[in-house]
Amino acid sequence: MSIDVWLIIPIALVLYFLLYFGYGRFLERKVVKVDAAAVTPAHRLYDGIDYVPSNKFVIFGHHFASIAGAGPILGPTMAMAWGWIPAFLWVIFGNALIGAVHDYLSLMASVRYDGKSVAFVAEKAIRPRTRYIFSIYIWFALVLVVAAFIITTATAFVGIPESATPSILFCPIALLFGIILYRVGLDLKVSTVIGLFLVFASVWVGYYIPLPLAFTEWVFILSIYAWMAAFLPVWYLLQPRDYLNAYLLWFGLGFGGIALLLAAPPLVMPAFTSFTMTVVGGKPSPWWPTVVLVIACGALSGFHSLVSSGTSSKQIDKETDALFIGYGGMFFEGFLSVIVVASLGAYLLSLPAAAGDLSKAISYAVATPLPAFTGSYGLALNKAFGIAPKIGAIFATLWVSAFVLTTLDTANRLARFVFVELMAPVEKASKGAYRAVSNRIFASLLCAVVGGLLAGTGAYTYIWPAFAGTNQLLAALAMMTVSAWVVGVLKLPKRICAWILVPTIFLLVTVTVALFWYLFVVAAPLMFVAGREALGVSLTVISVIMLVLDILLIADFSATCRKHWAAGA
Amino acid sequence: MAYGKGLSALGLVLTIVALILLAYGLVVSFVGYAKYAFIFGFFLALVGPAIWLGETPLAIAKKEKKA
Repeated sequence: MSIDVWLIIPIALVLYFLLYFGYGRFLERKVVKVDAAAVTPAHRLYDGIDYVPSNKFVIFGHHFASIAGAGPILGPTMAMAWGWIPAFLWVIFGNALIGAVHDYLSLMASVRYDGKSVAFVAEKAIRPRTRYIFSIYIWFALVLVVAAFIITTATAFVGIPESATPSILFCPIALLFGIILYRVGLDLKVSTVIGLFLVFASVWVGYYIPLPLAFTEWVFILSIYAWMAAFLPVWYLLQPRDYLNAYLLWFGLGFGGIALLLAAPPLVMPAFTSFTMTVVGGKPSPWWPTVVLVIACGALSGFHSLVSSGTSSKQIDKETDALFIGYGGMFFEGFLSVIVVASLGAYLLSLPAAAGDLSKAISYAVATPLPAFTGSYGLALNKAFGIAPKIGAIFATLWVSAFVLTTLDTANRLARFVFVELMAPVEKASKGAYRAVSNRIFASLLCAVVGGLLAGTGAYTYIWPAFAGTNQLLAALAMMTVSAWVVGVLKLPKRICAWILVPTIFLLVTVTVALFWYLFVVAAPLMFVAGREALGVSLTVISVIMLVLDILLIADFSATCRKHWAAGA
Repeated sequence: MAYGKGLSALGLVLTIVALILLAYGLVVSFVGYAKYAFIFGFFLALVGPAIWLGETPLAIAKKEKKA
């Protein structure tokens, strides 16, 4: 019997449902012990700007749009190299038992600390120096996010130039939408109709007028874009784009999901290929621990802790809303990854670049995951609705790129915040120097330049795992922070703490091993490859810095746990 | 306007130039250097309205100082 999408999509839905009402409720009632009557920071610190109590469905939309980047699509696409079962299992169980726990507890810990960042929680739950180390770490992680997402978008635009035109036009359309809504005061519904009409019209324009530019040109353009978008006001570009993006995503997901179910294709990709496949940096990569590096947002992402404790926690109306937003939001992202796995499992081998050959299909998915996904998506639309595969692929590239671009400038914006925070000691020495380095234009420039330079190497199969490893280590550190919060601040019995500590330790071990593997097998040898020396040195230095910070933070964490347990005993 | 009328007018001019460049790139289907004109128009379209509406970092700082 062939397995088709009618089997794996319902299985995923049932598992997510059971885990949400089982494990999720356990976390809510036994670990966090939410109090529906507690006054949240959104009410207590209401300022009408950042702290605003909001409807849980509205926050869910914001939270999901913020955490959904390219991760839930690119990671599972690359992980198809091991077969669809390993990818599927990790986006179900890695998500429910680690990723969603991480997002939910980061959100709730922040809610209990006045909506402050996870680095602030680390200072309170572990020790003051932890916050500083954590912030340095976050800045480096964000540089890699910027680099990885610039490469992703540039590669997609080079591969499908028809998608570049609407992606570029999307920004002026969003600006126009923001201006007619906020400045002209046009009704939201009318503004939305105008905005969406222009977005869909731009897809049609792109189909006839593709924008052909070279990879390095796109890297340059996207770096400048990331810099500019990070210093412009939020209402001006990001908010309107997020809003229009959300429609695109719902439409794209819904359309793709319905197409898959209508076409009901069998999964022709093998369920399992081999434990070790050539995935990261062209090296034989064992499924464990590298799958954790490769599949980011669909199962687990440290970036989410920054969003949870950055914007979402400041808008929570009631503590009881948080499970739906933090835990449920992550499940939604996992489900997006399931759609990706189903789509590729069915159509990857049918793409022209694969021509029915498994090794060609895997190489294509690993080296260029975005076109691999959008091509499969286009085929799904073609089988279900008869839409030309090219148009489906352009549409998919547009909505994925739109999310990648949002993540790109959000990451650069967060890097600006972190950089300014790190520069705080400079203020004591010289106010003038502090003003210069904390200037929005300058502080936004650094991350964009370093990220852009790394992206310019075009070494996707090296940079994506470096980004993913750093991102996953960030997740491990955020998990460590919330574990310290559970152990030291909530002071729960050890048998309850174990539910959080076991995944935390598993994650810390996995990610640390994965980073050592990456350092010695991928990054360091690259220093001796002709023409790749600079990239090798950069990735080696970043990996070493990450590992040193990781070890320092693990030492702080274990000391904190020992101290609390000794005091408890 | 919370800040100079001159700057605001400059922003408006940049916005109009941006729209012309974007349209030009599309109309000629990006032949020759038109694709670069289109990209230049894209960047102008990002900053032009910000200058026009007084939403650049410098203008915002000035407004905050006044407030």
